[in-house]
Amino acid sequence: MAEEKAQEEVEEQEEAKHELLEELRSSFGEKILQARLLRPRRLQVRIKGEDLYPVAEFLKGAGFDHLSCISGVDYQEHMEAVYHLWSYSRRELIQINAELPRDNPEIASLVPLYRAADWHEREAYDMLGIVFKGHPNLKRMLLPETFEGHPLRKDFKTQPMSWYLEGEAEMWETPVEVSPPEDGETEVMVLNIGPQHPSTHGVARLVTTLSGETVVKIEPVIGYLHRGVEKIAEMRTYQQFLPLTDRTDYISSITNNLAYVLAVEELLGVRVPERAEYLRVILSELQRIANHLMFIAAFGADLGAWTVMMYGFREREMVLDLMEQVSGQRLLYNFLRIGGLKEDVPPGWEDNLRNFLRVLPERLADYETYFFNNEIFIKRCEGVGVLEPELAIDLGVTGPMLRASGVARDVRRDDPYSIYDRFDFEVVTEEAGDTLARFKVRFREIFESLRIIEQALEDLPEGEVRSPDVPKVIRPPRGEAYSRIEAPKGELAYYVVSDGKSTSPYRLKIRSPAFCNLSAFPHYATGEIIPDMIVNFASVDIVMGEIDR
Amino acid sequence: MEVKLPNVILTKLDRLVFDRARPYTMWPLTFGLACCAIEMMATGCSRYDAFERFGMLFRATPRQADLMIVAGTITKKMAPNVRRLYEQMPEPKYVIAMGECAICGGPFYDSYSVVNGADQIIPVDVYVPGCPPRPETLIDAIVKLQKKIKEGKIKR
Repeated sequence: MAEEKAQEEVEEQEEAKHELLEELRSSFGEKILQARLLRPRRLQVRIKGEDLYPVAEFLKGAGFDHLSCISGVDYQEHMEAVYHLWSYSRRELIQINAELPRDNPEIASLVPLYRAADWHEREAYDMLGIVFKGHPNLKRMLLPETFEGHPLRKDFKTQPMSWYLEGEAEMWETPVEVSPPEDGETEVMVLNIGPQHPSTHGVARLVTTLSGETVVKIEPVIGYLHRGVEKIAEMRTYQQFLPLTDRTDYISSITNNLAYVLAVEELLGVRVPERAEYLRVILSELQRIANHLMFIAAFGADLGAWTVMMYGFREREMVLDLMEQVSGQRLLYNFLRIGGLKEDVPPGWEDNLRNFLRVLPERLADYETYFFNNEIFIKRCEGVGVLEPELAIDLGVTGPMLRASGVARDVRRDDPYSIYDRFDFEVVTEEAGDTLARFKVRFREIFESLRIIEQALEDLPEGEVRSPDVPKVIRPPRGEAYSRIEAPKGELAYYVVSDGKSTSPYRLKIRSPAFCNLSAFPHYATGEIIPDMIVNFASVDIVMGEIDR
Repeated sequence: MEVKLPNVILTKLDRLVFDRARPYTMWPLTFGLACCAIEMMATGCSRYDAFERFGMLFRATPRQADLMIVAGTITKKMAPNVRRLYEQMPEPKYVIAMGECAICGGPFYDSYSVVNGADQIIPVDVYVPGCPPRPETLIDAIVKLQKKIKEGKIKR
């Protein structure tokens, strides 16, 4: 029955794809170099760089409203700018490969179409030197302006050991020029928050312009935790890179593992054993719970409610215990493998998990009284930082932030990966779109995760946890894979390119949810007073490791 | 000239009083760089509660702090800020390098933007291995630092 349904869906998809690709071919003719269906819900179009804007405009008209990612690949003879657009209505992802000459990589900016393109394009300019014509603010983003070269180009050489030299400090200093808005009436003040500040969650930096106590302008400055993970990926084998994925989003590492292994498995064409799939789902949902508990704790700390911090960490330790029993680590598990898991869960672990499923809701009942009956908490959150749904989609916001604006989008349901199509769960939404709604969405998602874990635990089959088809030396055939998953913070995607010869990725790009969510922040957070902005900022739930990579 | 008096000990006030008090009132700076910061927070929170038991109180400004726990990767972009924060702390001050990144660059040692260890920019007293170190390890490091201060091994 389920198979038939899936089959039907595939056929439906095929027809839909033909329609769209035919339309593309008929409207653009010779300009479309290649248009094909990679697999259900995945389309690919190859064009010349100069034709990008009309094609993107056409696709936006055809319902591709979410700009998922912009990246680039340096193929040495030529370069490519790669765009991933997702359509919430068609439930399809289209990948646009725009070919560019290497000596003069210029392409039209998509900012007029998708405002989410702003930060993506700046990053691609910084890392690869692709110039986006018409971009309002094309400056380096992760690296300082004085940096020489573009790290993700293939001819960029890194040193085996980089000693920190005198004089380098000046080079890496990052002054920010602030031009205060000129209304000629009020005197403005520039307040620099971060990179070392208790409320910035790591090393984020916000340069805010204040008029009185009201925030007029916010400029996030990122890159203080830019570790060059994408370049390191090109120097490691596929297996060796796995531990580094943990360290990008260190609060929810299993989901990063999962997105990466899914991409490599897609390249290899490997199927994962059933038991491993179930355990992956259980572990990622546990990770989601841990992430949201951490969010609650940190959010409480930002509000000045230190008790909440203690509560959040107390419950989170229960999840960490479960994870530790499985993987031997408390924070960065590195437990998933290409083709399955590192090993099976230890005996008795399932009982511990059942116990956890019983205990956690009891504990969370306390939270409800603590938060939702707390007048101070409600007053500080309600109506603060309202994000309109249309703006949210335009800015590429995903995950709980988008759902808090009343848009029921969840990759787990819209574009199921692993075995998420087998479980019954609700996509939690709230209508208000304010800070309180974002808090509520995350809080309620914990219960949905518990439901998924319960179902998965009930159906958990016996058997192998690692596919025997994965070779010891992983050398995937030439190709590209884009794996999207619903990480706790939003849509997480790994774009992996293999050249078919090497044992390390030719190019790896991480589309991190926090990066896009933070890029939206300046657009809706102005006009508030400073304490409200701090609360609002906390509700974005950022992790700098993932933003800066 | 040496003065010899019966039943008299000559010492510095600093040595007699403050060095004995200092290990029990270290105030660390609220300062987290990366993954290790999460474990540092866990060390201070419900289960381990290891900071306030040691008389440590997190301060948000370097001018009130005397211990810096470098928890995470120092990137070249962050390095000038780390050094400035260290310079803003009043003497005497101590540094714990927490985690592989703060020791030697860790898994990012060959990156173009990572400083290979906190000791390239500031003096470090105690190194805590692990990626990330468990809270128990950090507690051990704090005890070691206390011992070092008590024995007067840290030269200023």
